[in-house]
Amino acid sequence: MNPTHDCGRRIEALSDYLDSGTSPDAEHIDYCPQCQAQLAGLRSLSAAALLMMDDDVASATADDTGWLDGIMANLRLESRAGRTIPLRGGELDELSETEGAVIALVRTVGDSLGGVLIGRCQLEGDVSVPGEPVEVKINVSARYGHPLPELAQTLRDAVFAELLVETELNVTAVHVAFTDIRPPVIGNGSGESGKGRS
Amino acid sequence: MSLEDDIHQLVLAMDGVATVYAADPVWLSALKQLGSLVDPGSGATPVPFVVCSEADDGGTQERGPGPSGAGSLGEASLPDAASAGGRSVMTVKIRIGTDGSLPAPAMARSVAGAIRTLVTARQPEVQVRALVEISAIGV
Repeated sequence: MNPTHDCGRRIEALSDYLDSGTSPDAEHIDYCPQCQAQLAGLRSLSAAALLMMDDDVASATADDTGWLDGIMANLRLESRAGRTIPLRGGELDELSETEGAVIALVRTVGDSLGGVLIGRCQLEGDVSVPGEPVEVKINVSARYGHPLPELAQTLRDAVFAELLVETELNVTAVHVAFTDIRPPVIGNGSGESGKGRS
Repeated sequence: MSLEDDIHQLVLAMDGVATVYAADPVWLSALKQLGSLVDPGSGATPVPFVVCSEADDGGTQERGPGPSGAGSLGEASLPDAASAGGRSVMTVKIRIGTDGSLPAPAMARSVAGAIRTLVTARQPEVQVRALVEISAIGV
């Protein structure tokens, strides 16, 4: 996989920036939406990785970290601006959202729910044409112990609701696929539970 | 302050706007930096947050420092806006991130309206075409 995204900044450079807080390219990074989206994803990933270490899962077999690779791959994908999603506006105006912004929104909504980490997320359909049906496909890594049917429904409802408010897409379905189950948290139970969106 | 700076500050101060991103793609910023190096009379080109370009019968001309040219937002359809009804058209490009307090589509329309009001007050003779891209959506 090519670790270079739209604006040409490599994920390794952004990771260094996240670790050190400094970069000769800081002015660009601070004002680039692609870099900011990627940094946000790296922070989420870092938090999840810390939890894994807390759970002593870091020493598990390579197979157990497959979900991590999936999230990394999607992080690179969503950091791209992607397609342009038009918004209604004045006659002369041209208003839009980027596909990357919408996918990042879906990730944020999912990650804010307890026990869920969003892996791959795709918008299927012609998002560049207003009113065209669009289906959202989400791969999810769930924490063991959460009832999956309820978790899927909660995630679907939350994503639907947020997309209804934040986009003008004609979302006809939200498909949730659980692709990984992570071990339960041992101890105080604190950690990746979401911020409790209402 | 320039018109671009005023628009930048206006949009930043709006409820629901979390940030204003650099308006130009990296390649264009790099091109402008190169242009400033080639031109001995100019200093370093600042990161443009707002790009204003005015279209008249002579074509589109970008305001402000650096070489002229189209940016990433709406560049394919810029010529369509040239002089509507005999009035020249100013295209204003901006990319924003929202903070989630207001719906993103409404924010885009609100920002476009605010830009139009500001520019029209300064230059009543031009029509305003706002190209607003939501690059990040907060929740």
